Amino acid sequence: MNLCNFPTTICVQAAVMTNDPEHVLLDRILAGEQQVYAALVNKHKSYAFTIAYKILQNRPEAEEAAQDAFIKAYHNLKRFNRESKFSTWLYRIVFNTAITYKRKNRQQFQNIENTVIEYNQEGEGMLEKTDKRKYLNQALAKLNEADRTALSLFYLEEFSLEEIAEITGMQANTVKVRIHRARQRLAEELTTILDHEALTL
Amino acid sequence: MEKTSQSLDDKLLDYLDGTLAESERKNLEQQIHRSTAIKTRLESLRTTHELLKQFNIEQPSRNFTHALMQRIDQAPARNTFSIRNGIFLLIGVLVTAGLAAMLVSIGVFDTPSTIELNNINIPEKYLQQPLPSIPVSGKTIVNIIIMLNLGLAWIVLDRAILKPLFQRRIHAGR
Repeated sequence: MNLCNFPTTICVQAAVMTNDPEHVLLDRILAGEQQVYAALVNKHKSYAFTIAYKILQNRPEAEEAAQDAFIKAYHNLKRFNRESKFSTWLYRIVFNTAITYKRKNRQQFQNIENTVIEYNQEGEGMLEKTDKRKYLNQALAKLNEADRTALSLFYLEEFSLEEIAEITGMQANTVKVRIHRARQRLAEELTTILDHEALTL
Repeated sequence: MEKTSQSLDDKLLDYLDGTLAESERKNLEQQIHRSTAIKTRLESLRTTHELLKQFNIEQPSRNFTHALMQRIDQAPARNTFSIRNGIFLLIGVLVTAGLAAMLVSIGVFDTPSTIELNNINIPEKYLQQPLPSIPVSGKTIVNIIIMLNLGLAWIVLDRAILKPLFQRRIHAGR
């Protein structure tokens, strides 16, 4: 069955550019099969929402930003040059949309180096895994959006450094360095917390 | 506690990611074995690494796709112009048209002029007969520019101001 409803030359050209099977679905959407887009949304909504959530740190806002990004992508499908995977292109839109939302809300970025994590006095004593995770989340919230997103995408183990670079608009080498630095800062914060816990035992 | 260097930290992180070459890995393992400071630093980085590995994919609400597909036709691609920029552009276009109309009305463009084609340096072998003079009316040209400006103002008013404004109201009322 020929799923591509465009002239053969266009379909062949698209197939040659990348091997992304989703490009065939895009042809169907462009040909007017809107319900096919719902399938793409279902497939990518979790990652799109995760990216938006990591940036905005607020579920309703992240959902709105992710939806806006999907709508932008739908209306700009014709402009997608198909040199990359559709998902990478889509997540880049999600990333940019979430960043715009963040700036609109004037939530100022705080550098982790200039902030002190507040210790939970009630939780002193045995530091359980959940506590560690809680402190890690606090430290993560103080990273800038690009670092936090890069780190999240890296640990979701679904994206290569090159793809993370494309999504966040950075060079692959820069992404690697920033992921390294972010982990160092997080490790230092956790060490400080653990030392503090040990002292208060 | 002795502090590890940046390059050593990078190596330790590469080690945890499993991206170190075999020889480098063996070399680093020997260093770790020999130094308590490096071992402590590795454990600190490993704790962070293990916690980060527990990152989960966040799930949006159940009706995410349904809500999105309902919005998809009702919310076309956002206009690149904000309403504010549209208003500025409209004011600019109207001011230009107004100034041009004022200059026309005070008679700045009333003096007729001509373009003498014979003044153009063309070799004689190509010319069979003298070229005509073309009368140019500055007033007519400026009037055309004013008309084009008014047409442009109408388009700006419709596309960059009224359309986004009504769309916003429709979405707000939904």
